[in-house]
Amino acid sequence: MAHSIQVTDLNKSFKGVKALDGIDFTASRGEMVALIGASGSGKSTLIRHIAGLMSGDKGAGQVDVLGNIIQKNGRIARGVRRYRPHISVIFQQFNLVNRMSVLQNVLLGKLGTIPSWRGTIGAFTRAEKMEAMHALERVGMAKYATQRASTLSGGQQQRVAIARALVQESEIILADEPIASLDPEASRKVMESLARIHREDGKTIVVSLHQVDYALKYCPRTLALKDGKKHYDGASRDLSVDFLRNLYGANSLDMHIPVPLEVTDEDPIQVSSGMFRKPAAAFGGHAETAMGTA
Amino acid sequence: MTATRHHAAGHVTLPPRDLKRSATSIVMWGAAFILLMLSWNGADMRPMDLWNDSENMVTFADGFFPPNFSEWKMYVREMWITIQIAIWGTALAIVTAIPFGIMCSENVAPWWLYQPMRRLMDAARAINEMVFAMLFVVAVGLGPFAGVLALWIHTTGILAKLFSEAVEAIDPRPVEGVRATGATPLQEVIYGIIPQVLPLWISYSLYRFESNVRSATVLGIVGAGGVGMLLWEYIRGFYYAETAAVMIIIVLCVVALDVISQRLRKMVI
Repeated sequence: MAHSIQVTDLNKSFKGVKALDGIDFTASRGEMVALIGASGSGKSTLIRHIAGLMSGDKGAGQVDVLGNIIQKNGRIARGVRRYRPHISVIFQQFNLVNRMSVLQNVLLGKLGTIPSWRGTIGAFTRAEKMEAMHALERVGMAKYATQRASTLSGGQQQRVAIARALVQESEIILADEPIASLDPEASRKVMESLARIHREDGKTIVVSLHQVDYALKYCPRTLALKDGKKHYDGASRDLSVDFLRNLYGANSLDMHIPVPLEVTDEDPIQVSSGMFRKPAAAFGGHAETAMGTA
Repeated sequence: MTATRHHAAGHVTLPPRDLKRSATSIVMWGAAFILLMLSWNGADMRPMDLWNDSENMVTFADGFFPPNFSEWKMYVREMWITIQIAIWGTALAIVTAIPFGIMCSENVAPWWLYQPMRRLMDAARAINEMVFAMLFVVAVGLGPFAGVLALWIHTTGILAKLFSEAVEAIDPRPVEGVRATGATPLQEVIYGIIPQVLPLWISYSLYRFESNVRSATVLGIVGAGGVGMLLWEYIRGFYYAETAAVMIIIVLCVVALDVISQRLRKMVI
């Protein structure tokens, strides 16, 4: 099967500290991969490199998306703007334009694929507007189309961002901690939307997550990073509590490590609501449980 | 727990005086005082003359009363020309300040562009509109057009700086969101930056319009049209009653425009 994303020996240092250390990673078309790791392990950095928003260290490293070079040897490819429409990016902070309406924000997803003069003067066709409305419909946000983006809640904004990614008609969606700033119900809706798009449209999705239970529930494959190095790459169901404890190390309090780790298709992990309602309190109590089982 | 807290409240003491801060404050006031004293001679300060020459001034002030409004239609017409000069000067300046302002922003433009652009805008700002007006009167002849050109250049320098400061304070995330869709750099500016800075830009532009009406009232002194020309003629001819009438009309118009523009600015922010 053709590679959708191919990352070869990618390195990135920030002021001498290795944020990415010799990362090799490939994703086939239509895969849904979770990217997990403690804060500062390089999840966001890797996503930003794949999207061509950041360039790696000089000397080595290459990122190919759909057979096109995005960056090589620390230089972003010259024609990267032509490939960007093939890669949708969903950000932790949604990155919507607050003062524009929901519909206008979604239409921005078309900028990369329509003639640039039309995008520049904002002359979107009726068909494009209808497509944007359909995308909003799919994420359950059509009724908010005329509202300003700033008037929506975080979860709603993130679903608008997903709709923007949808109209881009890209083959790949990169989601950088899409649910990190959302409450559990909003998180669930956002992850359901992503999973549905993966299932129905067969897009390749790479999603970095802070909550391991969501990774296990929605993503068949997991790539775990630790201190910028690849720590695990394989089936999500094979991850063990011990492994996760090791992965997060001292930061394990930072994480939602689910108590029942046995993942079966019939019984997807239930996200216990009590665990999230008060994150600060729940973290401590939860980590104790996890340690007790080991 | 609450009881303990109430009990503890009885033992609260004031924090100790911060000596360093008190010393700094004394030094700052001292420095300000010394600066004022050093400037006394240079500014030719003669406060006693206000007292000694007070009779002269009373006679002079008498000439202003009562103001002579017999030619008020002409004054209002000239005032309207002044406002029109300000309207065109500001409008042209807004149009040019948008690209210049973006080119002056270090989060958008590369250094080799924003550095020279900023210096150019500094130059446009550093030279007073009166000086530009004098130059343009020579270039395009006496009249309001010279005033429009003078305001245009000077205001472009000011607005470009204010606009670029707004652009430098934007949230970069929406811009990245737009960039990730494959937008062109121009589209990044249009969709990522302009919606964020528009309210501030409008507010700055209205404020500059207010200031430009005030500036335009004196541009006539150097021959650049409007009510200033009239004012200058009357002062030079010792027509103080007429001068007073013109000044009253200027004050009324400026106050009215300030009020309107303040209302508008509150609406957009």
